[in-house]
Amino acid sequence: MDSTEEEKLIKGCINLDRESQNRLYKIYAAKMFAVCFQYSKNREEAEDTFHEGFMKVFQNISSFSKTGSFEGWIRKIMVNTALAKYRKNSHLSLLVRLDDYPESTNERYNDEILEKIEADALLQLIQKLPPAYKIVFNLYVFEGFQHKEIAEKVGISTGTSKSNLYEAKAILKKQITKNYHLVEATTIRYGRK
Amino acid sequence: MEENNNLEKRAKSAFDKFQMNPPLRSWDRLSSELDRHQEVVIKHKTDRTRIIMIAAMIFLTSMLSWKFLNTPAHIVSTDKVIESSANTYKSESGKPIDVKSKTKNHTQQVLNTLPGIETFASVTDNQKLNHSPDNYKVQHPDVTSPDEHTDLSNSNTSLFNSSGSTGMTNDLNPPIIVADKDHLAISGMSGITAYITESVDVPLTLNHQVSDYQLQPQPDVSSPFSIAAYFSPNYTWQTLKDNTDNNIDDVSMYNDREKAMFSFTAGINVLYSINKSWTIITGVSYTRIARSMLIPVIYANMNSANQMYFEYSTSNGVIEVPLDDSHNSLHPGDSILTESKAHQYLKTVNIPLLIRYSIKKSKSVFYAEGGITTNFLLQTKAKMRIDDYEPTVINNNNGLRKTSFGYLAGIGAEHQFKHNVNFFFGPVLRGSFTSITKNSAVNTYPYSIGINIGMIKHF
Repeated sequence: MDSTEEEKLIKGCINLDRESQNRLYKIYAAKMFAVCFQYSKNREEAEDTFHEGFMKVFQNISSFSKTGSFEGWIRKIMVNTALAKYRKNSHLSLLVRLDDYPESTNERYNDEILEKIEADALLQLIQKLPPAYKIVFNLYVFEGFQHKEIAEKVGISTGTSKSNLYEAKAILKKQITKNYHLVEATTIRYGRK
Repeated sequence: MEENNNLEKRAKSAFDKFQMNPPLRSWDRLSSELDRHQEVVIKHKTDRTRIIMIAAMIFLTSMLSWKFLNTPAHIVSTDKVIESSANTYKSESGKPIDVKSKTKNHTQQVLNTLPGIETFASVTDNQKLNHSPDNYKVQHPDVTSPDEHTDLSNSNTSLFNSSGSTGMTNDLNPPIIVADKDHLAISGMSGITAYITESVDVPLTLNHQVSDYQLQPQPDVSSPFSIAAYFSPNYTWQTLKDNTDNNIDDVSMYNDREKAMFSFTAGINVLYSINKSWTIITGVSYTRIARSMLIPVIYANMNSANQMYFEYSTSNGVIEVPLDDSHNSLHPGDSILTESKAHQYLKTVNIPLLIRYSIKKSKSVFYAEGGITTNFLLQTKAKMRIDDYEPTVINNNNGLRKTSFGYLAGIGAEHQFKHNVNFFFGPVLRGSFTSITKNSAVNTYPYSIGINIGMIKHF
């Protein structure tokens, strides 16, 4: 989609034109649902985040400054919606106890394994991370936030953010190594053996 | 480290173009909610239009009332014969007042000091005295004998022309009427001081140009200084701006979980009158802004002295709650669901610098004022309840600026309470130019509407 078309679409959405809204939805729905899923506990939560995020997109589209990428703007809304949900749905009296999780592993794993893992398999591994680790891992790796920004967004200290990222990577590496030894296949597809 | 980077790179590239199909009916769900939302938007727009119309009506009514009040309602129209004093009013030196070399105010002041003269009125060029001037005579300053009078109706310097309007007026020194129930003096012409030196025996009708208002005693203005004390109950809102571009969520989160509480400002102002209309104001005031908030989750953290504390973010900085020994099992990053309520108070000392424009009407003074304020953070206080733990945290709030700058605009009215002491009230808007937070997720600009109520003493 070129910039003129995008501008036209945005203008249509600002004017509450349902056809423009539907077109915009169709263009970005699949990408954004993946983002929501990445930040959610399960598919149901991802659906709620996706719905809430798109409502925010349509309600706030006039505030899009046009200085950056439109897709990036939508993605940011989706991520923030997921973060807000994360903060809101922290139902445990003691949500994250850092020493509940295993120490980082020194076990080495082969980079070739990484190359062989498909996106959905990796996604499933990330999904299995403890919520506090997953949020930090996603924000750091996929959104490119620094620890200070993550700390502010999630409401943790910078040190905790660093620690959570370290632990997340350690768990992922361990899982990858473990599954690699269990599944002797050129392509590892978790849940689709 | 390298293998860590590889993991990050691989994860990033794997997800670069990763897509997942959303639920089949998600667009239908969105569409129906958008329909509902658009109805709400239309309702809000209607509400807004209604509010604007009501505001316009209030404004219009106020303007009409103002105009009505401005029109002299109590016209002095009397058949009473006003006799002049047999004595001319003289200045202290015993000579007639030459207004050519004196300002109008000075003339008024001097006339005010004369015995028996307690009231005065000024008449501008376009004002008329609706009576025949034939029987009025004036004393020319060059004429030393009070017996030599100039008949106004025949003089080139006549005060009244044949149509009864003032003639020979000077823009700088419009005629002044000085009157009480027994006396009348007219002054204010260039080079001439018009005194009533003879008894007049004609009915004098003062038409709308000389109203009750104009005959009211004028407060003494011997000193340009006044002092005012006031109290203002406020309702405070705040504008939040996210520090990250296009991030609307932190703003909505704080807006959802925080609410304004009763706030107030109290202070003392010193006023300096530059002239009849303009006044400069400064002083000192104390403001307390209060907010209530819901704290869903708090996080444990450790400070540089290895002491644990709870922290929670608000739109007005991050509050740090010191922990007692019962919480020593916590680790940094632990989070606790509290669902608790907290009250946060910001106390500031404010130094205003304002300019005021006033209009005097009868016993009342109406004014509009505006200017800037410098606000110094005095104290932060947070009261909360975390399970059975009820700490009050004082001055342990990070992310707030020590100094911020704001604006103030208001209108009001003063009404004479007793001699030189007026009661005043009026709505006032206070706001911030600069954010009160620093290095926070959001920039916070509080603003409030209050009612200033107070007393002012004119010296």
